[in-house]
Amino acid sequence: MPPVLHPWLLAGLGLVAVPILIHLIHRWRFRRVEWGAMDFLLDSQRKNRRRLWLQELLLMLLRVAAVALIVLAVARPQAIGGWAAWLGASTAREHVVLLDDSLSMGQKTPTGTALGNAKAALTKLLDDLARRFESPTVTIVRTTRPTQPEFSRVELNHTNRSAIDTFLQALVPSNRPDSPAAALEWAQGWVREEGRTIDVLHLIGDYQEKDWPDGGPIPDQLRALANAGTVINLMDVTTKAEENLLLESVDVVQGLPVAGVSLVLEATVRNVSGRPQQAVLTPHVGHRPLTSQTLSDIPAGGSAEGRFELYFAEPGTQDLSVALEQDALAIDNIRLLPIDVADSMPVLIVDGSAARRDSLFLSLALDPDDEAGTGIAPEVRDPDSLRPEDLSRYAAIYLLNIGRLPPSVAGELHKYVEEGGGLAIFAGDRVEPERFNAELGPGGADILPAPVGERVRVESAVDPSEGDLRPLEHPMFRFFTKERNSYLGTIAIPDRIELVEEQLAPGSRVIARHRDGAALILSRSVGRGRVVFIATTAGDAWTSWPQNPTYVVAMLHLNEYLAAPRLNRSTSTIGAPWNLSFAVSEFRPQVEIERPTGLQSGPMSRTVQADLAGSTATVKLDDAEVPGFYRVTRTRIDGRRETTTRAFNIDVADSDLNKISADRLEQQLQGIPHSLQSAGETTGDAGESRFELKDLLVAILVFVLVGEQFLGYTMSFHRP
Amino acid sequence: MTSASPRSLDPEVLARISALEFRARHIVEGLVSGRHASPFRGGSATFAQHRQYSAGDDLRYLDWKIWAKSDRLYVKEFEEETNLRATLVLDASASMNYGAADTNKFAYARLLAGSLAYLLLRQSDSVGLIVGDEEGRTTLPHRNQQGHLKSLLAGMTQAKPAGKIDFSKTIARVLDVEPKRGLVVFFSDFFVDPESIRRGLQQLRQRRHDVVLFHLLHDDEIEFPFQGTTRFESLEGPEMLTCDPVGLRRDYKAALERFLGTLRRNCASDRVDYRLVRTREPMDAVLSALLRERMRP
Repeated sequence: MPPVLHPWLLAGLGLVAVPILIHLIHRWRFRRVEWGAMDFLLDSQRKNRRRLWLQELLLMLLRVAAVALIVLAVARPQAIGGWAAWLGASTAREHVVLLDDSLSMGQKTPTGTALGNAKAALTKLLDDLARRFESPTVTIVRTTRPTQPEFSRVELNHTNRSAIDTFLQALVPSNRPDSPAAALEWAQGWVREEGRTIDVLHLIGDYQEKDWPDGGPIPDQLRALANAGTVINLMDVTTKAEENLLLESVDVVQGLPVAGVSLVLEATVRNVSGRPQQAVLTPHVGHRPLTSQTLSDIPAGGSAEGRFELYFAEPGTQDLSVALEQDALAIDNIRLLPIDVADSMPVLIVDGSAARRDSLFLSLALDPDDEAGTGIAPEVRDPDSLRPEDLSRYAAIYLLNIGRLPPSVAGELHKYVEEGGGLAIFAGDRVEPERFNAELGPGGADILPAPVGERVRVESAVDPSEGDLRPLEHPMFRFFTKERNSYLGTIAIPDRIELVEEQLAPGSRVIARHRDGAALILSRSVGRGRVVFIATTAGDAWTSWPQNPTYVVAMLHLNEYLAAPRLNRSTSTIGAPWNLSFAVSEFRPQVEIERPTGLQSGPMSRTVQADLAGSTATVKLDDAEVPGFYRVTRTRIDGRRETTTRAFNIDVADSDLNKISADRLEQQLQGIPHSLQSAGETTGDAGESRFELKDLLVAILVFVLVGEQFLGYTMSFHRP
Repeated sequence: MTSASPRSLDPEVLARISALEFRARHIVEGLVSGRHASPFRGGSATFAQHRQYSAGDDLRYLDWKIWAKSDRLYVKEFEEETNLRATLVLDASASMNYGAADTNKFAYARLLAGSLAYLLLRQSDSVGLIVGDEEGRTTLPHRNQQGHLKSLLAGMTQAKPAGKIDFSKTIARVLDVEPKRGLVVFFSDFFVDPESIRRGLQQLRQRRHDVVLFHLLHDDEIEFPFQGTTRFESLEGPEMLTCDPVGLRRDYKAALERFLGTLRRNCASDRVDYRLVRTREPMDAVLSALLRERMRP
């Protein structure tokens, strides 16, 4: 029986009984006539009995055939192979192969890697094409490079076949995630814009569920190609979803990269397999492994974090990495993070208060003394001394009781925050709400979490142990929210400025409230950086907090929170460009770029000329395809060399190896003529010619209906 | 004999028929005696006497022998049977009950026979009635009184179409009640064996009867217009047939045409006045045609 697109509709063939039933009912429902001239009638009936019987039989057969043809036409059977060719289907000479070479194809399967399986299937396919078709042409497209076919309409002769085999031998999985959608779009464009014909489209891949979401583009793309006459041949080269753990991120979450100061690294592991897994994390500094940590019972589909405390005695760039034990997909088991360990971490404190009193408290909190060793180096300045300058060297900036800022400094602050800087703003008696909002609100630098209002004074609590500071869940208060802290109860904040909570800026939230319920401290994400606004003074003018032990801890945590984005900005994703700009007045335009060649191989260096534009030079690196540490070494005018390191990690989007189920795949492909070869069964079948019989059935149906009408009319079954 | 339940003839038809009597009155000598040159020729004509020739006498009746002997012109006078004896034979078989209302064959036959009876009685002809069925029973003997019409009409009314007609028995009955030459008028659909019709007509013609056949058929029986699955149930027997009438129409009509052709030929060869009448035809037109043809010299 030929393949049928909607086999379940064949149940409708039972409807062929309907015309028979109608015929029988028609026979049973007759008109009665009492007749006198019976002899003549009987004489006529004797002469015509056989003819009439044949006519009735033929009429019923036509009606049965009409019903059967309608059911078949809707079910859409197809003729294949020789029959299809006889009926006029094309001999399927133009073959396009979309080969999935994305990151996930590096997964290990019982029969080798998925890409290895794909290569084997493609080899079988080419053998089959050469055997069954005369002079077939093949186009091979990698899904990670859809607009650049590896081979375009090449005949399968000996020379081309050798070239294809060589290509396949050298092919390795890409380090990029990908979906077949882009390649299918290219195929559609090839047909639509270039007027080409694709007789058979072969889609070879691992059929990840993430590539086939409900409402995704692939079914529509396949349908469009099928409607244009392309036979669709799907080849799945993996048998099941391999269990996989991946390292999703590695970030500095506590501490500062300062020599002599500890910092905490947090690695997030995600379990994309179908059952709970255990993960063993091993951090490395350079090639030196540190103590491993085991994360147990990571739920299926869930994640878990592991933390490592690191300590660097000397300043310098450290290549940090965290690795998982090897599993089905190795490429997502390592995550890289370069850390520039400094002598100290400069922070800028701009103090507008009288006699810079506020900054005294803050400076002492951030850098108590040499023995405390926070690594923070506060630099206190007057607001009037601020000029438009490069603020990027500061790990964080604090604005204390600022009345107004010099022109264009607000713009520099916005740029600083947006590029990953951390800004904390404290209130005070110098703050003029109208001017403040204009300079730093949406009409100005647009860094305020909310507009500010007038100063508000609140009477002290009746209960002395009832403090005015009510912190919420935030890294700044991580030591205070988990258990009741008696010191919080002694913090008095009788004065503050009002915050218009109803007009919170995008990305803003309340992280602490006053005892009376009003918002007291707000946090906002701006670009890659962070802004925290504290509605009272950094000093003791409006609050007793600076005299409270919790102040120091809170300020240190605040500083960590503000500085964190800059610590983690030295990473990129494979494929993302990295542009490094510098002033030609400071550095020479020739730079040295060192790039990795593979995780097990050594790096490769070359010297390039930076692109010059006026007084700025830019080094562009947009072809990072290998995960690893990339370094750009610039030479200062005075001869000193300065190296900037960036780690390129893979995009883990392709790491979910879960496969789309056969049922879901068929559901998505309903109505699309296709053949599906499952892993292990890939025969290399080139996809036989197919001819859809629907049109032929409809043509026959027209003739049958015309015949039925004519015969019915002549037999008086259709009353005029 | 007959119950007092007369059905009156349609006054309009009666009025039309009466207008046709003008020719009969013109040639009949004396209304009292009822002697007239009937359009229906009597069964016999006997010599009565001679009288002297008057200008205008029909020269066919000159006695040439007397002229030869006496050189005088005399015409012969005959005594004709102007009291014509007409026997109306009404087919009361079940097949005559086909048709609805005015097109019902039996109703039409009854009315046609009644009209003719009136015409004959007005001309002082004797009219008898035989209702033809399986038994060939006689309904009424011949009378020529005007009041006899009511009896005749009552007799026709009492007859109900049923069973089959035995044509041979009916003919035998006719010959039995009317041994002498007379007028025999049949009102029937003649759905019987054609051979029995032919034999019967021959027997009547041998007795020198003037035979008129009113062959009554409904339009449906001639055109066979039926469509859709139909069960035909015989009016005269247990036969039935469920069929597609359209498929049988052509051969049915051919069979009917063969039958009509045979009947016409048999009537023509036996000099029987055959008239095919559709029950939708106006009755006065049917009678008018008959009378006009009969009155033609």
